[in-house]
Amino acid sequence: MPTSAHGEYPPTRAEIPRRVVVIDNEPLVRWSLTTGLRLAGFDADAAADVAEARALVRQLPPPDVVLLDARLWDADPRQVLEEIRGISPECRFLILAVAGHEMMAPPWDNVSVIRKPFDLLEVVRVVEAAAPREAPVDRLAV
Amino acid sequence: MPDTRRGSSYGPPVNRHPRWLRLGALVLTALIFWADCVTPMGIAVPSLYVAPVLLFMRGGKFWEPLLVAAGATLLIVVGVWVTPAGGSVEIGTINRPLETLTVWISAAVVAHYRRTLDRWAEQYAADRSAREQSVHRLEEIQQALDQAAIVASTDQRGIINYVNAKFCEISKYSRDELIGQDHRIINSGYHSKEFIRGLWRTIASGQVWRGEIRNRAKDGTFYWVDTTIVPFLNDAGKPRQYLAIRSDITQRKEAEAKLVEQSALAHLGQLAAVVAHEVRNPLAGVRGTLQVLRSRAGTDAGDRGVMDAMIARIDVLNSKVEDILRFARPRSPVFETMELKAVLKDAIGSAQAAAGTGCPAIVPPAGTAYVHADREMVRDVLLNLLLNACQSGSTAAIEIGVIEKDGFCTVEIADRGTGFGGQDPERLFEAFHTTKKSGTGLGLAIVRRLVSLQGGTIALMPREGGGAIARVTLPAGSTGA
Repeated sequence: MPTSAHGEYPPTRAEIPRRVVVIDNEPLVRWSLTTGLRLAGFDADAAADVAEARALVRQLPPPDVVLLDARLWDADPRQVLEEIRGISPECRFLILAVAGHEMMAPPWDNVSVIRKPFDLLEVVRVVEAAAPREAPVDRLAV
Repeated sequence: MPDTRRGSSYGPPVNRHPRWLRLGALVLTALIFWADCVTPMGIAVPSLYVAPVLLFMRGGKFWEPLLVAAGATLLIVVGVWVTPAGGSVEIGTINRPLETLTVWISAAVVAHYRRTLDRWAEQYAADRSAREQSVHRLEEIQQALDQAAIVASTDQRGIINYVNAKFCEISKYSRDELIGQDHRIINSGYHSKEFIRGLWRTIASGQVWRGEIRNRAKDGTFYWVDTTIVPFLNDAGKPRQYLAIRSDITQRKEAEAKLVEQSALAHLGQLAAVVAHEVRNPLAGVRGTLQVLRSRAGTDAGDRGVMDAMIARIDVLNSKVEDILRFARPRSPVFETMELKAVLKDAIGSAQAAAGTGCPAIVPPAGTAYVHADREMVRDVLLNLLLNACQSGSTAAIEIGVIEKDGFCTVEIADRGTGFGGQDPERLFEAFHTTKKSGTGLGLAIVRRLVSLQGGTIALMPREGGGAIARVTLPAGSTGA
């Protein structure tokens, strides 16, 4: 029986790092969030545009959490959100926004908002709370 | 014919008691005839007929002296027959025509004089009637003008010598307070010196000036008037008096200002949203990056201190962007009915914590009231005003009063600080106007915006005995809610 890097196959739920995808046009935001989240134990990737985001989201395992910029230069973030939901329905979204009250209209009304500029520790806490450990294991077995 | 007996000092001579004159002339004529009848021929008694003729200098119709002269002529002829015998018939024959001639010449002169006087009186009466009609018309025009406009007149130095009731009503000064003053009493300080100089240059050169002026009433409120100033010139062509006719355009100006402000705020809101995005995005990246770098092993304590300072600066920069956004693009209020006491307690606590040990005591109001407003916005407004009061430069207690009246709840925050230093408190609400070394100058502008969004008003005013009062009025909430 093959063994994983985490030990015996299949790995226990606690051993699977939760996957986070950051979609933001600002390079330093992508770098700081992915580095900070990796340091916190997450499997974090970042996309600079919609094409990269689509490719990342289709990769396995599917993301547990997507951090999505509320203003993307190459697409409407609401369409991106709906598209990712179509690919990965159980994915949770956290919206990176410069002004919180702009996020009240649908479909933003049922997603959490992280205000920019953010405190990394706070972001880690919010992602921690948003990412369930159980879900990825079932999907990984596909 | 108008009664000329009530003629003024510059009118024609008065035609007094013509009935008594006629009677006097008749008696005098009879006496002279009697004297002529008892006097021998040659004595020039008939020349005395000039006297009843001259009586009509005092009054009567122009033809009356001629009538007397005709009568006298008849009596002179009759007198020749009835004169007693004796005397000089030759001299009498020469005298009688001469006496008759004298009487007729006198009568002609007096008749002419009376005729001239009558014409003069007629002309005078006609002029007077026309003048009275003009005065009456002017009075009617003035009544209409007083109903429609704010009217004042000044002498050539600008000293007020007349104001109508509307002027008193809008300026809230009494007539006695205004007469003898110049227009500086209602000067709002809004217009530039060049504007005022231009006005005076125009009217002093004898031309009409038209424009819109903002004035200040006695109670400190402002009003706008559309103004026309007409100079009245003396014979030398210099102004001797100025008449100012104004109409109240305060509502129009306020509506215009509101439209301009709304339009400007809409543009500013769009601009602020773009700027906020363009600034906050890189700020977020820089802040996050610094946090990552700071947390890495191997970063020495000195570098960590620098990074902490950079993060703190980023947070200050972000709070300034936040201020601009809150002013230019505030969120819509979420209304609820709330008791002011709890919000005030929260704001007082935050103000004391922010102001530190130097904060004067804050005396909460004895009573409470309910407002229908946005809780977070009300808290922000009260906190901002309390912080200003804390920083007003006085250690005297800050007093808070709450009054509920006519569907509105008024909160007054009163300090004993330095006040406004003669500055127009209204200017403190202008965006980017600051009296502090640091700060965006948006604090009070945001406060007014938030209050206005909730259907309320805010004003700052000097406090009697020194200090300032901030008065916030918000829609009252139902206590049963």
